[in-house]
Amino acid sequence: MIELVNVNYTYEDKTPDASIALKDVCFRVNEGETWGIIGHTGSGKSTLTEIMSGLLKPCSGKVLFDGLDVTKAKNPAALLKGKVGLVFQYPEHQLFEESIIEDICFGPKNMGLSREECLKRAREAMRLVGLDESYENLSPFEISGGEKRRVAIAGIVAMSPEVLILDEPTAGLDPVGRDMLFEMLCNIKGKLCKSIIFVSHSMDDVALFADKVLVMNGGEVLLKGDVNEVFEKSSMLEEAGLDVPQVTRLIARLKEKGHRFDGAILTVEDAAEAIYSKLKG
Amino acid sequence: MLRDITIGQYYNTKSSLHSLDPRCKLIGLVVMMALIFVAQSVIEYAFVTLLTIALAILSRVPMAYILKGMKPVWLIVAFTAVINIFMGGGETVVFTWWAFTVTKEALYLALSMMLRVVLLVTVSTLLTLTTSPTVLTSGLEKLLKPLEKVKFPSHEVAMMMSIALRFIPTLGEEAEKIMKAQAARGNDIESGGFMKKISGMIPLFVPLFISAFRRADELAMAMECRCYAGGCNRTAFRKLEYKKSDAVAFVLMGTAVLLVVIYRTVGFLI
Amino acid sequence: MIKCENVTFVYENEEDEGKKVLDNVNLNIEKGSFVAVLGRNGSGKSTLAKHFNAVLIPTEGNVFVNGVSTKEEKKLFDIRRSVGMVFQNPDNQIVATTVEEDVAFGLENLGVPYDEMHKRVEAALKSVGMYEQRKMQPHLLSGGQKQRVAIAGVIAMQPECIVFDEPTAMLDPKGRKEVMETIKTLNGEMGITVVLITHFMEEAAKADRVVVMDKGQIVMDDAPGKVFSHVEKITALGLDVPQVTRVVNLLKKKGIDIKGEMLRTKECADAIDMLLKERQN
Repeated sequence: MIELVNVNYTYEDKTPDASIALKDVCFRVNEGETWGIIGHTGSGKSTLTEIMSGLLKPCSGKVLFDGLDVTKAKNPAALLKGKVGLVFQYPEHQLFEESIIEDICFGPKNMGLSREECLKRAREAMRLVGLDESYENLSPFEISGGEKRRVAIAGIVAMSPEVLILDEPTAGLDPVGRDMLFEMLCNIKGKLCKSIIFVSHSMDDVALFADKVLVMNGGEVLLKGDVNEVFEKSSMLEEAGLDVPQVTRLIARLKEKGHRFDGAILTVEDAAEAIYSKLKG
Repeated sequence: MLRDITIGQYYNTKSSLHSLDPRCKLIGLVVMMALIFVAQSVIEYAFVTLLTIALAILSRVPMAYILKGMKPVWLIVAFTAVINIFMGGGETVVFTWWAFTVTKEALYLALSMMLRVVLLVTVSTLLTLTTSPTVLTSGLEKLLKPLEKVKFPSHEVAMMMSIALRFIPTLGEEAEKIMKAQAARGNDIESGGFMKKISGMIPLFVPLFISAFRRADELAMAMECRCYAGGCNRTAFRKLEYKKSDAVAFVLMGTAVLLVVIYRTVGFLI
Repeated sequence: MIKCENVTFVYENEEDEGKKVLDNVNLNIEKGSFVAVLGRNGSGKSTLAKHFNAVLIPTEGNVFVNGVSTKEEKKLFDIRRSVGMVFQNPDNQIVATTVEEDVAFGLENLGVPYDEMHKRVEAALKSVGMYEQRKMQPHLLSGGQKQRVAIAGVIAMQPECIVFDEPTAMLDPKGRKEVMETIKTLNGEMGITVVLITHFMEEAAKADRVVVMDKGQIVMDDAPGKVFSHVEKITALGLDVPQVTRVVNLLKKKGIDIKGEMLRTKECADAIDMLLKERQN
């Protein structure tokens, strides 16, 4: 669906303050995939999301959506409207309307849809994020933080994007909030969006929810591929300053001590099972 | 976009002007402004212009940088000039065009007004270029201290200035973030008519205000937790002390004022 | 150091009227200890924290700091000087335009003399490793650095206790690590009592004592190893348990005999390694 070919991006290009954000990034997202993008602050992952959604034009390289090069367009964001939706970090800070339903309608309205269509989409989006009708006329400022985030995500979902990109959707949430959010994203993916890409600091989130992972380091792609393949290379990830999940570290330590474990072990259940079968087998 | 504003920016070249006490520079600014305002004759204008240029050279800030910071002012300058040229009145007609008459007096007035604005802006810019905002704030607080006797809240004013300086970059960053987030929802402030542009600002300003208020709330609580209780019984981290160079600066200021006074008196006598 | 006796707190504003945010909380924090208060968002943990230095006053019951009730308004400054507080958002607690001046802010308020103030600012900045950046403007620092400046600002006031209200919630993993290391040194080397409010179990695991809150009440209060060994209970409260603890818990369920409470990867790997070696022999 989205493909980035040799994308480069430099902030304040051609000035003394120039800082390179992305170097020769190649990355392809296919229909039905869920990608996790990880990397520490300044690794270029946020810039990447803005390029994929057309808000930034790469300095060089191509961004293809269904084979069409959007960088040639005068306004790539307009071209990708309704195709790629980007949810920023702490999206609840962007709410501004008097009622929740109006706030969610803002995106569809800007797409030039009729009032009925806007409302229809907004209601659909509310259902997808798990907010019932009683919320419609509440002010977005009198609900809880977690609910605000749902409203903000619904605001993007209502534009019915084919690809939904989220920048650190779980920031500041507690474990239950995080699980609920991922459950909600699964629901959205099953019913509306074809692919989901999310940026995260947490390898645990990626291990639990994504099937593909892109690891960014210093503006470059360090690793990409299936989650279990990438997590096998835990030493490389740790070198890039990333926290690998504790079970991955546990297995790595046991391997160091001379024990053999085959295959990818990503979850607590996998690890317990593998250790148990070694102890009993 | 928000980063282009250079007025009020500090540019450290470690020149002698930079090392002066902020109070000295603030008083200097007032003196310069007074001199610029009282100037009438060509000689007086030449004198203050030369003084300003001398100060600019002394600051060792590149001239181009000073001029760049004045970009937003040029429009005001041009506007005052045009108004003065055509509305100036006077008798010695230079030329007439359509319904407008341009006189020698009006031209002189327009030119002098232009020069005044440019000089005023330049000296104020020089103050901010050579004095870091924090130092400037503490200088201002000290200078205004005597006014506390007439219930002027000098500490509060200085604290407000300092907090504003602290939060301008933070809110600027936040504004940029919100702009991008709303652009991702299809908000367009670039195209369309005036009304459309205005309505496109609402999705930016509402969240920005809400965030500013939330920040203010949290900051107030954090300040209270650190035992802040206004200006009474407070000590200062930064000590301001007049040095020899400040004395020299004060003498030079006095001389300049004296020169103008003498010139005026002599001119009056003749 | 801090003692809560039957503390109940009800917010006074109209919307949430009558809702008990804290419900009969009894807690005694000993001098020199490192106590983590763990709970979901909305469990009342931040509200409790704000009682420790009289930002909030209990509706019923009493909070004593060194034997002084927080209801005594005349002692407000003494209480706040002995119990400092670091908040969640690093941006909204830095007052001044340079690092060193911000650290000095509390001292200026207390009327500390010039020479003494400079000495204390320098020492405080050195203890959090921010001395090099003392002339910098706060907005140019990373989140972790800003939070360390905020900590230095509190340390300079020489408190006996510092309450951290979710200090890492808005930071990336690197910043989180920096702040947690600083907190460890404060408690370990400088002997400052630390109360850490958090919803990250990894952070709570570093404390000497974990207090778990739910719906305004204290539901568990024990050493971290003991608390996390109740895997089901903690999970039911909407909190995470360290992954290795869960692995060990699963192994125990399967009938493997592992002794002790496991929180860290190393000790867990060692224990499993021993079992595996025993079996090989």
